[in-house]
Amino acid sequence: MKADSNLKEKQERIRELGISPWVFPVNTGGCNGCDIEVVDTLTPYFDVERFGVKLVSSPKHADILLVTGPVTRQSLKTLKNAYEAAPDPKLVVAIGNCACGGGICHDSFTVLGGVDAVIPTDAYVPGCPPRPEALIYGLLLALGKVEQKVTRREYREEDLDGHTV
Amino acid sequence: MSGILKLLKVAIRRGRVTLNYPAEATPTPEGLRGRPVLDFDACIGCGACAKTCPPNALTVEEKDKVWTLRLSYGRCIMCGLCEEVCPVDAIRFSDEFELASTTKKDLEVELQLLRVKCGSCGTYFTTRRVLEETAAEYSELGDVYDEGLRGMVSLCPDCRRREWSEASAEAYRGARYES
Repeated sequence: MKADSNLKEKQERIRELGISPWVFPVNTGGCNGCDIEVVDTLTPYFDVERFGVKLVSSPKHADILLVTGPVTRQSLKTLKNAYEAAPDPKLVVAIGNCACGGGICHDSFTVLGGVDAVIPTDAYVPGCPPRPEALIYGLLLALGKVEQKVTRREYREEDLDGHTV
Repeated sequence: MSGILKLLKVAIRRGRVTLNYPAEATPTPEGLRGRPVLDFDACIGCGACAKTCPPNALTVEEKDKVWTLRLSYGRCIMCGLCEEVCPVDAIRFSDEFELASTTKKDLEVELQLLRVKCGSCGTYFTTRRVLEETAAEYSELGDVYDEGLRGMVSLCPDCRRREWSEASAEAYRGARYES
């Protein structure tokens, strides 16, 4: 189940197919804040349908799974079913902190962790909830249309002899 | 029919409202808390931010010589508490919100500072920068503290407690014999 997702390959296949990315939102036990932002992106103001993105009511029609909320024990089976039902090539986008790595619920006894703990995840969109623009950006990043802006940052203090710790 | 005409009138009057988002930057509201930015040179390593962080996005690891602060954007809920408690304003919230990444590794920040040894027992107890900050604060206060107290800055909490109680016991004994 936890096979490595080859993002580049999937993006290439989606581009070759020339399809509109249809999305299926999966709430795995979130507070509904991120779902409201997902609906927000469909309003005329943000209008995510410009990119062909359309909400569908069945994972069998979906190319992208938008997962919101931490994965709870109750929703684990539903999430796995939705993932298996979606046809290849499929992308999984974790929306919000809870889906990225547990978020504020990370130490709860019912929470198994982020989406990446259960199914291979292709893009992470942090935010609590993420802004609609951030959500559009995350979707386009998963599709390989925009460049990633954040990178890992590190700092090591030098000691008196000039060695870094 | 008249309903549609009314709607058409509104639509023509309003014009285009859709943002041209990825092509043009959208205006961010005043006071938006986006990506938390750590000022690596200003941070003294007191660990107040990690203690106050509700989702444990900021964590501190203390191991021998090294004090490590880890921040994960993938867990930060942008509540702004760390910005409030930071004594040296080393953490602030920028208005960058495009934090999406394809790997979780890119969402992390790591800061490592040096720890210092206690002057008496020799165990590592705090970062060098905290001691420097405390010494600077003491020198600002001037003659409020005497030399003996200032020397206690470089002791770990346990040794400081022991030295202080020994000194006070000594003073008490001396006072009793004199009277």
